[in-house]
Parts: sequence; C-alpha cells; structure tokens
Amino acid sequence: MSERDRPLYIVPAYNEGANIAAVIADLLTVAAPTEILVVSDGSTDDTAAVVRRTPVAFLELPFNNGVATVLKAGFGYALRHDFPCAVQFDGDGQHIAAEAKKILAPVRADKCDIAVGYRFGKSRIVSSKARVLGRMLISGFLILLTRQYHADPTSGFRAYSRRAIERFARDFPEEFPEVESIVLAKKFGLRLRGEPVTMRPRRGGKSSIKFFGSIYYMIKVTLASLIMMLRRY
Amino acid sequence: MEQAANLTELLVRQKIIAAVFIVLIFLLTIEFIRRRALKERYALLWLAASVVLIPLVLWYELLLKISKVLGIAYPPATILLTAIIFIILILFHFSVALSKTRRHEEKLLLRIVEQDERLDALEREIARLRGSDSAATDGAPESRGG
Repeated sequence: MSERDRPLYIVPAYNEGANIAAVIADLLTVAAPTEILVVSDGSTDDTAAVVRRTPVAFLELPFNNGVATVLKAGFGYALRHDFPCAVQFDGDGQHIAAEAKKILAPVRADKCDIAVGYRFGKSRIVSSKARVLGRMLISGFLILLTRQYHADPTSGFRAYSRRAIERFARDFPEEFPEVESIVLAKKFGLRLRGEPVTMRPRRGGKSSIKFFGSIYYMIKVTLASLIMMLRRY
Repeated sequence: MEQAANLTELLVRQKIIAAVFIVLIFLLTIEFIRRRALKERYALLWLAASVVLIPLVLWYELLLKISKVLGIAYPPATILLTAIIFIILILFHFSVALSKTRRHEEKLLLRIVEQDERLDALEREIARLRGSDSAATDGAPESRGG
C-alpha cells in the first residue's frame, strides 16, 4: 500500500468526552495522527479539551448541527488535504479501528464508492422486536428504491471513495443521514456495498434512534427518502 | 337572498373596527420597514393582506359578489377565509425563508471551520519558523512548534 492510499479517518463526536480518548488511541494503532480528524459537533462537555491533548487533527463546529454538517466538514477537510478515501468512524467507541481495513478494501480496489460495515456474528446486539421490524421494513423499502439489499442501513461505519467524498461534500442528507445517504448515493450513481464487520456493543452515549419509537422513525425515514428521490440536485 | 344579505350586512361599527385593525397592521408594517426592523421581502405579504382585506371589509357589494362566486352563504366568512389564506401563505413563506437561512448558516459555518483550521496551521507554522530561527541563533536544539 502506497502512502497515497491512506485514508482520512473522520470521527464525528458530540459530547463524547468519556469515550473519545479511547477511540483516538484505537485509531492511532492503524493510522498516523495526521490521518485522524475528530469533528466535534458543538460539544458542550470536555470533548474538545480531550481531543486537543492528542496529536490528531481537530475541527470544532461552533454549535450543534447534526451528522450531515459534521461529515460535510470532514469531507471538505479530506478534499483540502487531498486524501484519496475516507472512513467514517463513530466517536462513541462501538467501531473497531482494526476492522476498518475490511470496509476500505473494496473502496481501494474500486469495487464500490461507499462500503457500509454491518454488525456481524456475535457482535450483533439484541434489539427490541419493534426495532428489528423497523430495520426490516427500512431494508425492504431500500430494496425497492435502490434494487439492492442493505444489511444495516443505519450503520455509521463507512468507507468513502474520492468520488463519494467530492459528491457528499456538497450534498449530504440532514434529517436521517445514514438511511437517506444510501438513497442519495444511488441517485448520484455511487456504488454501494455492505461488508460484515465486528463491532462493540454501544457504550457511553446513546443512539439517537433509541429516543424515537422505532416505527415512527421508520415512517419518517420512508417519507424523507421518498422526498429525496423527488428532489433536484 | 335580499333578506339574507340584509341580515348579514356588516354593521358600521363592525366595519370601523375591522378597518381600523387592518389599517393599524398596515401602518405597523410600514413603520417597521422604515425602522429597518423588518425587511421588505418579509413584509410584502403583510402589506398585500392589508390591501386585499380593506376593500372586502368596506365594500359590501364586492364581498357579496365574491362570496357568491365562492359559494359562501355567510359573507363575513369570506373575509375570514381571505385572512386565513394570507396567514398560510405567510407561514409557508417563513418556512422557506428559514430553510434558506439554515442553508446559508451551514455554508458559513463550514467556511469558518475551514478558516479556523487554516489559521491554526499558519500559527503552528509561524511558531515552528520562529522556533527554528531562535534555535539557529541560540544554537539551541530545534523545538517543535505546537
């Protein structure tokens, strides 16, 4: 692997002061400090202070915006610093740095523009029935829209090609970024693919999805995705 | 019809109250524009609402005709309907304006983040250069800026 194949690891972090140091330490086992970018989404805890004590690159959004803006900032950074690909890596500690190569491989081999890591095997978490049903319905709905099965469309562990970075730096869906970005990728002609990876159970921060009823979430995602299909870009 | 019209003919008192209220809204809008507390583009619909409502309130024949066309049996309801339509338009206009503001906000924010980063890099570079300068003159070991 040449120097220029190296990805930028983009770590969205919102109030992850408790987890972020461990996440950075984990990433430093596979990447140089200049290849790790933590983007704090207007955190109100000590996230910024913790990250600044480490050697990694850091961007701070002045107020909370949501994952879409965070990723746009990250993609913009990747373009300015001429990274050929990027990995989106959650700041809450559920992703494992050593697993990143699994989602990077197909992107580097130009087999796809976006590789989504989905929980595999024992790392699968026990979910409520409503959640499982909701995920199944979203998957079914995505098959209709994209003619492709997506094992875990809500996963935030992803690798992006340069082409995907360029496109998504300009437009990234705001309401339900994970699911909608899959629909948007299809619309932009970006090739998508899922890769099985091992993940840790969530610790520290909570999933934003937990707050909504799963079914309600699903209805909203469906509506938003349909609107996305109709939108002009 | 004649009787119904008489029954629902607006009283002079009602007309005055309604007209005064509408004129007040109109003047208030103008005054706020004058003080630059309100941008013209957000005031146009308010002004249009006043301009359309005034004749409906004062000119009963017109109100009757429009009500007939719309199939509204109770003419004052036409005034209410017109007002509601304007309120919906104004609200929709606000939603669109808010979305646009959000888009601009994000663009500005990303630009600020980019410039923050560049500034940081520049400051580090300057510190590094200063450090190596003094290192060269003092013969001290080169220090890494940060």
